[in-house]
Amino acid sequence: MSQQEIALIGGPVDVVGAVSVDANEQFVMPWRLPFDELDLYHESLVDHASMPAGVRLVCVSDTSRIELDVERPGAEALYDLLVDASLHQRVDVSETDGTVRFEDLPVGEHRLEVFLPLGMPARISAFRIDAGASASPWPDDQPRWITYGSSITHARQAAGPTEAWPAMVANRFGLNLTCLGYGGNCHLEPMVARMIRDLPADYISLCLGINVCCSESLNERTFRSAVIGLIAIIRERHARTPMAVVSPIRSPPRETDPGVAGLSLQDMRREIAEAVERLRRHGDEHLHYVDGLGLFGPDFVHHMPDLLHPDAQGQHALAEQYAKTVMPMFGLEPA
Amino acid sequence: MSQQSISLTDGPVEVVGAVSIKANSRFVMPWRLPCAELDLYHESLVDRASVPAGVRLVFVSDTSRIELDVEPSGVQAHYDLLIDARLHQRIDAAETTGTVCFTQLPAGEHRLEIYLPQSHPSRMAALRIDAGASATPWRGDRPRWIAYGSSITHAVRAAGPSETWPALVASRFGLSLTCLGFGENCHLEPMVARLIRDLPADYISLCVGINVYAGSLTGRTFRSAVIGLISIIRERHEQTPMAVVSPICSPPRESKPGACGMSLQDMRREIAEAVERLRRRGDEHLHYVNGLDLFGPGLAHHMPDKLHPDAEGNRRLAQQYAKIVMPMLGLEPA
Repeated sequence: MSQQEIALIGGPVDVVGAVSVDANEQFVMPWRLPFDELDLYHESLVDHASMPAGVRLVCVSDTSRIELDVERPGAEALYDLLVDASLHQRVDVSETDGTVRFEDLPVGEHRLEVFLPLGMPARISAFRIDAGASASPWPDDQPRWITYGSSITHARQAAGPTEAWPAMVANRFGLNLTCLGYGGNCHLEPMVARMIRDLPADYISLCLGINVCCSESLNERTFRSAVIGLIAIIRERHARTPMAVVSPIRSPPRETDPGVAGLSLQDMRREIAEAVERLRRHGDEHLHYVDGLGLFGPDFVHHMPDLLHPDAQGQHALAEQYAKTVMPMFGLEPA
Repeated sequence: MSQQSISLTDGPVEVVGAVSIKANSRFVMPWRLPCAELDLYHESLVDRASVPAGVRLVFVSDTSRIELDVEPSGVQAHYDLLIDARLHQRIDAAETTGTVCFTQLPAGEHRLEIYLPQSHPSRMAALRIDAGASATPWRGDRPRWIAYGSSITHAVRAAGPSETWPALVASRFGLSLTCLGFGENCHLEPMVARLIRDLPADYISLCVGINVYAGSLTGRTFRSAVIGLISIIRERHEQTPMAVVSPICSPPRESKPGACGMSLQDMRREIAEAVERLRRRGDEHLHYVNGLDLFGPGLAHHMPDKLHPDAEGNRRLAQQYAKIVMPMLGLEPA
């Protein structure tokens, strides 16, 4: 069947969940940082921000097939197609010639969402649908939810991009997700605080601590101040946005060892709870503390083979707990 | 001679150089943090911010004598009286019974500035001058200079509060100083960045790095913290001339990495790189200063603990600062 090419910029397709989109003559690449000021962020954060976790291409169409030309990565890079919010097909582009093909789409017009890979950059050079098929934007008026965090929010261990816990929770509650989980790189930098502050958001989750613990990038002197600073900066433009601050989920080897920086995970939970409590005492009633152990505690350790990252099954368990524990604090019920 | 009491809050006396002032029925106490939200800052920073380095009481009067009732400190706490910007008298409150008396002021009206101790909190219960003496606010309209930094900017080891290097430089260039040097507590926290951003300022100096050496930030977070600090300040001081000064010389730390994983040499590179990246993006009012040019190995004999300039070291540092940094900010001696 012959095909038509659809513009990725300025056309019916929306790139959703990115912070910025680098569009040039060769490709379109979503970023989870402002791509025109990458030099103001640490190289390692930039590296992880090049991976479009939670980013998707969204449109409405009656096409029977989608083709996406991408730069072929050297390692597994899964693309998921959701049709009307249900997973239709998953394709590993490293097993293709560089074209992701979704086939056998159901008849009629549907909301189509192509979720980009969690762990590999996506440089997309063409997006094609059936010749003569319809293509229109899907006006996304779902409330916006930003999740900031570490590898646990980045969730590269998920079975596919739509099965990362943030994507599953967003799907279940009808939220427009911007995932700012950066593996190894949740260090509460003021530049990231400013970025979150300046993004539109109806709900905000911050999951803090584990990267600081593992790399000792902040210590007893600076960690709580960084938590308070991060929240205070975000609050400058989101004065009343419901915000959950989640302490580290369980990681047995790190629970009680304070390391060089003087902070075990238990210490961090106390510091984060204290930060939230102090801000609440100053009148911030839309700020909520969530103990990570309540989301992923000792009972789930079998879903955490490296004792740090929830595996594919663990993502489902974490999403379930998150839906039950955190979302009601936002006043949200499943869509 | 009989005396009159002058209000420290709503009268002719201005408390200058503080971030906030706690005034209650018993005392007036200047703070170098917002006193209504101290619990949002680390306890150790709060402790240093209770010390009024660079803060002074300013007014114009023809009194021959000033008495200031203060809470006894128990330890050395120098109060300096400057008359028309010159040191008239220095008094250690620890050697008094709780009243600091400045005497033999010259006849006529003069600008009087009482510098509060750079080493101890100051809770003041009363200020008295001669009965019948004049007392009016000093309408000086000097440009405001904020100096943020560590113990080196805090300058506890200066001979007196008007002889810290920031006070000496401010006096020489006719600037109204707000000294945010916090001994051991310059950790580039975003809350401090916001605080500086929200203060009025015509010139800003940031001297960062030495306190981080012990591991409060690392190779992963230090440069990002420098960039973040500057970016936040720039949100409301877009074109304010700003100098970012790397650590001055500290021989034991020059090439040996601390718990932060960086030596002072590494830190200077990181700070220079942060400034360079922001300048490349168009910030032409931002300037990097190598701390070694201000206080290098040649001055190490003025640094008995190899870390803090002593009293003479403060004077030397002020000279170098005046020569190197102030011209970058576009300033000439007043």
